Amino acid sequence: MEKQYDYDVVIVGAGIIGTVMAKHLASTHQSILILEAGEPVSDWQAYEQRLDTFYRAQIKVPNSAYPNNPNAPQPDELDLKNIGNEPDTQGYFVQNGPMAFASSYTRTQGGTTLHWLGTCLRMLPDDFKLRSTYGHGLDWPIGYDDLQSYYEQAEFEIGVSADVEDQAYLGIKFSPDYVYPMRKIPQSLADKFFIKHTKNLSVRYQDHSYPISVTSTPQGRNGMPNPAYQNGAGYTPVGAAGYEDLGQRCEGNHNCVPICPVQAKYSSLKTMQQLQTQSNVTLLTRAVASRLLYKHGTNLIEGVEYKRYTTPNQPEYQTHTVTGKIVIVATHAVESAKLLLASGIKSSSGLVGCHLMDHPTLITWGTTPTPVYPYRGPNATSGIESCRTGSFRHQHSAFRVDMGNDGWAWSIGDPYTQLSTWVNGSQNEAPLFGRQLRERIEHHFSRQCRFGFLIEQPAQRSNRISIDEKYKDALGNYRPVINYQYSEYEKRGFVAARHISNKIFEHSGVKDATHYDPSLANHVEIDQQAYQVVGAGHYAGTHVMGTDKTNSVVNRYQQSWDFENLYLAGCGSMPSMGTANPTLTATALAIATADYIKSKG
Amino acid sequence: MSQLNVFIQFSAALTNFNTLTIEGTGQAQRYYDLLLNIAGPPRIHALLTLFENLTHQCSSLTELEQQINGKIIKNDEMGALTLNLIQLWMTGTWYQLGKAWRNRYGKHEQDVTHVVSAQSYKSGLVWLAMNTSPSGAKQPGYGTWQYPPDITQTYHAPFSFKDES
Repeated sequence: MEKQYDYDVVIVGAGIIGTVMAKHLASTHQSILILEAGEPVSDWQAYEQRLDTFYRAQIKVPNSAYPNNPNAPQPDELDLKNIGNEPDTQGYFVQNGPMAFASSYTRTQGGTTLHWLGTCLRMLPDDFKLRSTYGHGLDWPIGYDDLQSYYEQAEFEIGVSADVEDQAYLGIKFSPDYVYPMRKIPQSLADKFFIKHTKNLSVRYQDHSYPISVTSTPQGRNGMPNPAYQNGAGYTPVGAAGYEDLGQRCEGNHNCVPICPVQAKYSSLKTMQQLQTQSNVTLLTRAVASRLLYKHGTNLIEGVEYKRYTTPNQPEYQTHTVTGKIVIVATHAVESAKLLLASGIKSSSGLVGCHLMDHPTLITWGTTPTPVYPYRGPNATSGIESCRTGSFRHQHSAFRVDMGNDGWAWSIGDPYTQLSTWVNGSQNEAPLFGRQLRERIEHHFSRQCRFGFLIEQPAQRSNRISIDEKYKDALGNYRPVINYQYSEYEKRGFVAARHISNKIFEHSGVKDATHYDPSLANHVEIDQQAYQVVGAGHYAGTHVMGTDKTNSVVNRYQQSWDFENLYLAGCGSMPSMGTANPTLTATALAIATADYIKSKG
Repeated sequence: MSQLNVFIQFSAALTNFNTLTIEGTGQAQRYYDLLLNIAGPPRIHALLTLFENLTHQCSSLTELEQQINGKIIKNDEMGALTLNLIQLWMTGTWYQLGKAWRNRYGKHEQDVTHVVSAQSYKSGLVWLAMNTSPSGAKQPGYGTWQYPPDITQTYHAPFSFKDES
């Protein structure tokens, strides 16, 4: 007799990967359970509470709208510091260093798409063969062509605004007649300033010249629907979860990170909302997966043990188990690897938790000669993509430039930081008030510009998450222990990025205001030049896919090599990210994996 | 003129927004009460009386600003409160007074750094001064960011500083 399971599919994590997979499997699988560790965001009112929390937060970091939950804790940028000889245990992460892993994620229903920027760049064909072409990091077992049609599906699920003619560069191909669901989001005044001032500007690496050109960024936020979408069928934007009329268009709240107040930006709450009509999909929140259950010597996961709590601030919980014919772990690159390690699963390759990646990000900023009026529009609407690949990748990291519309908010915490200095006075200047203060605010804040250089970080085995009996959270679950450093390859990328920043600023008449505070985390010096590196929130690589069980944790379908009914889905499966924000690619992979599961029946 | 009205005029002079804008935030009473609680009514009444007298004595905004600077901002006791009030209007956040001030003039439990309310954040005048909307509220609408902001609307000319009562 066939074994009876509680559910056909048990999915750990109600973020974008878990919900998109549930949506794609709901038509073929009779019962699906989604376990979510965090608090529910079950309706519009619950979302508004997060918005209110953001308004009241004194420091508006990415997680400021989503309070830490001791029963499902999360990392926070405010926990960061320079790491000395002892591990930094102040925050959720145990940071072994030598560098601090400087990114956060969100453990609430909706996951990190609640606070993501929404950038939906596809990876370049070159990015899939980094090792074989450039001798760094890891290759994928698949290529761009294998993902191309899934990218289109992912762009539908997220609702991406972009124009194909802007995005077909450096080998990125589209199906004939393909258009994005919505037209590109209008570019900001700062974008236009740099478009004008970088004409004919290029940079040389070895024998090649790379043009510096500003490109509109594909974004997971609602714009004007493209009537040509799907051969003229068009596209209907998806509004806020539980308040469909709201968020039909980006309204220029310049607050994508931490929280879009109208949900014009995609979050997986929208996909979950679509699942509410599916009676065969069940969501269980406040249910923290603590162990995968299996018998030693077998190749099947029998079920998932989880701890159910009733309120975030009380550590009381009850332990339950649930069985599933298929188990999908999609609970963030760090949490998924942690769950495997907590279950005693290191995989045949021993690579669970290894190859942790991010995009180390170098921020530079300056003052434009004429007003560009930042602090308006989505946080970024354009980028410089021309250095995303090239023969220089033999020597140093590729990078892309995220062109901020957020003034110096990310750089130094403006408008608050300088406002405070002007009002309170400084060694150089008496306090400003009245007309002088108004004039200073209007003049200075209208001329701020900011670049974020997202540096490619090839997989290194020693960058990893692990667990340690010494470090547990309120429910007795492990806290992630992180070892992390930048390679010389990446450091040379920082240098190249800074060089380009200088070149663009000089060429555009922008007065460079970049300065780095040595007391802050991740201050590095290269050739007597200071660099400050922050995180981009782009976690990847902790359960990489590969060609066999000796070089990877999962196969090309994100299926565990060791347990045939276990799928590890998400950015953790990615052997490289190149310079693309990983969510779109992970979503494309999730749909490909759902198709594979469906094809197996 | 009521003390609250003087407070509104004082706030207008400090921020260079007109009294209509100050009142339109809906925050004046709340901020006035906060100041009374933290610094005590006698001190705040003295401050506002001092300001009101200056408005009677001055014949131009330039002169008034000079007097505010000399008599209030540079005053050890009143200056810190006044600078805090400017930041409060600009950001909706009350910043804890400096240690020296607290030791000399008294500590109060409400004198901790905090965003007064969600509405106070959204009413922050710094965003208006920047010709934008508060980050995450009062959205200007789709596509507005591709054009310069409409800055023809003026919030300047804080008030008619001659006694209006």
